[in-house]
Amino acid sequence: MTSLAAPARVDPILVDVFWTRLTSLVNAQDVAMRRSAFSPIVREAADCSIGIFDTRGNLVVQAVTSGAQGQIFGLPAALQHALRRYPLDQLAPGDVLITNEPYSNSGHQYDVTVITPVFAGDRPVAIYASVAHVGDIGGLPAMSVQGKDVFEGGLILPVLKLYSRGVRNDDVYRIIESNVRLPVDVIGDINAMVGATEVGSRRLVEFLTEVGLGSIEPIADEIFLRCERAMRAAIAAVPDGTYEGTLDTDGIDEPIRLAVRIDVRGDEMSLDFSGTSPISRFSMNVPFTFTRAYATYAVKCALTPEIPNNQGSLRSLRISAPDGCILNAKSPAGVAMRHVLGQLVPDAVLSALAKALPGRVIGQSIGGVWFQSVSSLTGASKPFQTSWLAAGGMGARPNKDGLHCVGFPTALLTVSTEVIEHLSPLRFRRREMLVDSGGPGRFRGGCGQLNTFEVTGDAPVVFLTSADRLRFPPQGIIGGRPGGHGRLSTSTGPLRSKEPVVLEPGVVVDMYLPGGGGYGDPRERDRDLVAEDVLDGFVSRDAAEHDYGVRLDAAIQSSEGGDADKHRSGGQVADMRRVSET
Amino acid sequence: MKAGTSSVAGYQTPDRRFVIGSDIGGTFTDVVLLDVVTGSVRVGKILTTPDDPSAAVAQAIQELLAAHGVPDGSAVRTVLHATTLAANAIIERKGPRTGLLATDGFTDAIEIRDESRYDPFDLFLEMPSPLVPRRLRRGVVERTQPDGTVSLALDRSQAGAQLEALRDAGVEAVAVSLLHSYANPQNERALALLAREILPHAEISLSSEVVPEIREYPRTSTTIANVYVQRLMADYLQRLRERLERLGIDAELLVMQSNGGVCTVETACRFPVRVVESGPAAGALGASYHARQTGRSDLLAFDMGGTTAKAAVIASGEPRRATEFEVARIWRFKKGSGIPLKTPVVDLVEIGAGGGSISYVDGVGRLRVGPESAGSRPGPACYGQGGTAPTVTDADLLLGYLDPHFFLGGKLTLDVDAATRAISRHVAAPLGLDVFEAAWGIHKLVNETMAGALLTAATESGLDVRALPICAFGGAGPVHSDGIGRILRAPEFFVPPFAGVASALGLLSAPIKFDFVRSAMRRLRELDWSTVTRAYAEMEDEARMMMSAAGLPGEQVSFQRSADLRYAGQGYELETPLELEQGREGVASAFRRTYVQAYGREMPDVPVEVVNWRVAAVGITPTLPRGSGDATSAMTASDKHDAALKGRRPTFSGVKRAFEDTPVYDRYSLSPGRSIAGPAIVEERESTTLVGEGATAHVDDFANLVVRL
Repeated sequence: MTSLAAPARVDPILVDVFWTRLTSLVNAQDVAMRRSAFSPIVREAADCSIGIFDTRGNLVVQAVTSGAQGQIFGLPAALQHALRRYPLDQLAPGDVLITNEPYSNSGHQYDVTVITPVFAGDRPVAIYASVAHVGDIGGLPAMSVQGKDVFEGGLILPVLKLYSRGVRNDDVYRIIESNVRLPVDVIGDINAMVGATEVGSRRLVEFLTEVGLGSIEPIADEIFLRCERAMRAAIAAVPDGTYEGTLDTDGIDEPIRLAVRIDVRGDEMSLDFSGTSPISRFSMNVPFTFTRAYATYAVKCALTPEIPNNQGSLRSLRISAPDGCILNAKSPAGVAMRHVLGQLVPDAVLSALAKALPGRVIGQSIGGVWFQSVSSLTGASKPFQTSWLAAGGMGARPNKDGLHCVGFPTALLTVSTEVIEHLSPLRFRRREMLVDSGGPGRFRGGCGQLNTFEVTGDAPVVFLTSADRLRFPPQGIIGGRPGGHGRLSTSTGPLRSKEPVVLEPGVVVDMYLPGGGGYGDPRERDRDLVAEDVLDGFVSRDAAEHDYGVRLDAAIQSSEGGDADKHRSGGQVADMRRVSET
Repeated sequence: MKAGTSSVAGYQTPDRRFVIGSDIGGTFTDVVLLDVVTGSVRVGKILTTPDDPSAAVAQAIQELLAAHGVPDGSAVRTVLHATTLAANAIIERKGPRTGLLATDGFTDAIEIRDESRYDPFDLFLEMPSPLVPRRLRRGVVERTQPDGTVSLALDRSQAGAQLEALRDAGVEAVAVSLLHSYANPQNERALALLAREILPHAEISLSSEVVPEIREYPRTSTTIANVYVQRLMADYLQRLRERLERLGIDAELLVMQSNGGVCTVETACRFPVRVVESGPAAGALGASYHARQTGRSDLLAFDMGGTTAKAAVIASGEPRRATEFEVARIWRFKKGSGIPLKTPVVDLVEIGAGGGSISYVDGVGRLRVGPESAGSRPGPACYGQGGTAPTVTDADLLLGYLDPHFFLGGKLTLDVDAATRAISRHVAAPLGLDVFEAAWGIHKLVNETMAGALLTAATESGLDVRALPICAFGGAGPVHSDGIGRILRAPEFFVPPFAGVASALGLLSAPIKFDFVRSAMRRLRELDWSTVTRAYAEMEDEARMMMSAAGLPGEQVSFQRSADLRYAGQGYELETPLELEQGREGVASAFRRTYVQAYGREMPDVPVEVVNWRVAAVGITPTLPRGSGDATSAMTASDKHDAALKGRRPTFSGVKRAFEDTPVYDRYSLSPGRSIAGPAIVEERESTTLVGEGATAHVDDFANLVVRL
């Protein structure tokens, strides 16, 4: 085992106070950023992140509310990359950097990173960095996988000075404005990030002055050390050994396999993705920063969900993927829709960990939430563009059912039907949960949902969905069964996923979002819970009998009109009775 | 009418000289009695009676009237009431079996929610189960378009069958929430008629009446909550009225709403969801009253009790409002783990930390405080009721901030040894600190947590927290405000008189208030302006009718118009005060000003979009007499030189990291104008104020204890 020498003693109370304060600061700026952002995916879906780093580029604290794990763990990589181009000693107060190079950031050009070094007087004391998925970045529309290389994925901004000593670099702004379809939204998002990091920097300097600290490094080191110790202790508690897992998914022209091998030795853990499918000619390859982000996320969920995310908690993890594999894409491989595979990495990792940590893993989930984009054709009389996300079921947990209709690993938000209908000619017919989509198990996977909408109006629209898990549903775990697979169809025929398609007025689209995988043998499920699920329409009577071996008697049947619980006893039924009597 | 006059606006009749405010809390029911002729205020506090909260209210009123020689309940003109009944009914799921009728295909909106997981790392998190289970949610065939056009009229026979199914399932309350009903309530109204035929005894709420706003999930959730508590509220208010009548009180009864105004019993019964945050709103209202009285227009109201703390931003003498909040958070008070209610509310931040919050050292060796609380049973270790977990109160005791023999005025003797054992074992030993350093850590860290929440709250409302004084109340508020104020760089904090019954007192300053809203998502420049003036005319006509029914003539009603605006493309609206006379351009420029204030920079070329038009109709705000009653009479009785100095005791100085001898003063013996230099302790029956080093405290003309930091 690695031994951790204790550094010079730092006042532990000061560390906790400092840590809490930095977290408060970064959370407040996260709120400010989202409230002032423009693109729906930032402001409604929270596809953004913000963090405070020390002057060596180590992540110290990060906003807890962000929903996109790729950005949470990708931001440190982006910052390190930027500092290689512009070392801190070449930066001055008032400088702001911007970049979206996909292979060193969060994996595709849509994620734009803004970096603000924080100065006390002339001396750098920390760095603020934020990242947001902007509304458009040029290239093929809506992250289409049809891009043959990274250049078709849109504008690439190397590390540039957006502001130099407080003066706005109009050239950079003009380049961005000229290369994106929604310049107002994109510039609005960038300004929201700049504003948040500026205000955050000011508050941070005030705080350091207040507590009389010239630098955050000594305390950051103490924080890192504590988190490193905790992560090592958590890994040490995992039985030594090698654990392997694979996950198959749709791909475009052929299925793609993700393979992971996890080695646990003492207090260190390594994850390697050898055996994973090779680079694809479609733009769904995953830069390694993004793979590492989601692998780390999975390990943290299983081992140390309570430990805040920072440099220290990652030191005992080694993550690798061989060159040429789809999880280690290099330029010029297309990466626009890298999230579809990248966001399946946690399911692969958790499946592999099932043997080692059966009480800490969950059934598989939707993976990447489905991203829908809809816009008018060029030249339309009433141009519009909007997007929304749709989630499926989360995998069942070791002691409870999976959540219905949430993202995992992402935690992004959807947009209300009424708002989408205001912004587009789509008219929804259904957005409802899908019976029998939750994978059977001792604990049931969460249900997916059916979204049905009609294209109305008098002009065709351009539509794209990133739908996946259409052929390979989320798998169960520890004996649990798969959730329902995704399905796509239209009233006029099949619908291709992951590329823009033109839909004529009158066309009706059905999107069936997958359900989560089950946990444990369904025959061990509490019979009362099966009956409850039937009453609520999460499980059909046939499936209750077929999957769970529970035959429901006539009393239950009569209950579909409502009187059911009279004839039964047990957990939730007792609760209901209490409610009805008050 | 100005502050400082000797009568209370609107309450001039000498033979009906008393106004009562009553607030029911989790532990205590507080009552205050105001004599509008002399201006004197009397307070009473008794234990809450959870089975029938009206019992404690009536008893407390009876005791207070008797103690102050009021012979006859008929001398009471008005009873103002704040109640947690609605919130508790939702938290404890006490409502009747409730059904939902929604547009076919959209009955799951309340279970699909916004699809978020509020804690991305917690694989075990839970969502609140919907108040209406899926088996009691039924779809009806109908459709309204975003512009209000009914494209499919209600299918009465299909809807009738669904209603019969709900009836057969024993449903006693029905929420109706159809897509785009905010734009046209026609189908909801048709459905209501049908529902009343088929379920004649059920309560029925329509989303187009409860909350006619865009976004189906919060609208449906709010409508369900409304109908869910409707009968409980009606029964409760009926019982309360009967109890008051038995005391000879035939006064008008007004109920505090979440929005910071009161309403009639009839409105409270029709829209009980509007009174969910009744008590905390009254507290914030009290703080804003003190703000106006003392000429502080902006401040933070900070109420720290046993389990949680609540904070509100007061701007221009009024509590900041929000249009949505969550009730019944089920997972560590986390935002996202509750049921969203879309109703105007005093914007309260709830923080899972109070005097009873438990401190521990987590797996990373990090000191943590809360959100788990020792509650009132067993309570902090020092209560001597068997609690062994170290709490914030235990830390405050060890640090010398609390007097073990003067807690609740001496009603409860605190066990210092038990507190020492708890902190030693669970905090000091694991961190390798001495027990006092550990206690200081707990005190300091809970201050950081509170300050962090206040900072986020201020950011969410677009304010700079640093310029804001803090109005501290609640049992634990005044002992932590020095530390919190310093973190936030607040200029000062003050503790109003009767800080222990702040909500009940706040009620006395509550105006009658009704909120109205119309959703109309559209760009300002594309708007037909006549539709706006028409919407306001309609809303204000309805307001005048409701006000007149509540006994308020038109000239006593004022209107506060605002709109939820944003730049086209944004997802969050900013509530912007309006001057309609300035027309479209005036509205746009008011928004741009508000936006710059909130976010620092504007977007000059982006069109402005409206989401909701709002108006609040507000009656006259009662003006209370300046500090008088129990507090000032005590003050005059002992207005001698050092009568206020009760003694000295060692308290822990965070700066020196050591104990130092500290004077202890009796708050109500301090004469106005007297100045005390920190460090000092100022004690009163229900709370203790810590005045830190370098701060100075004085009592102002309104009996507030003001601490300049």
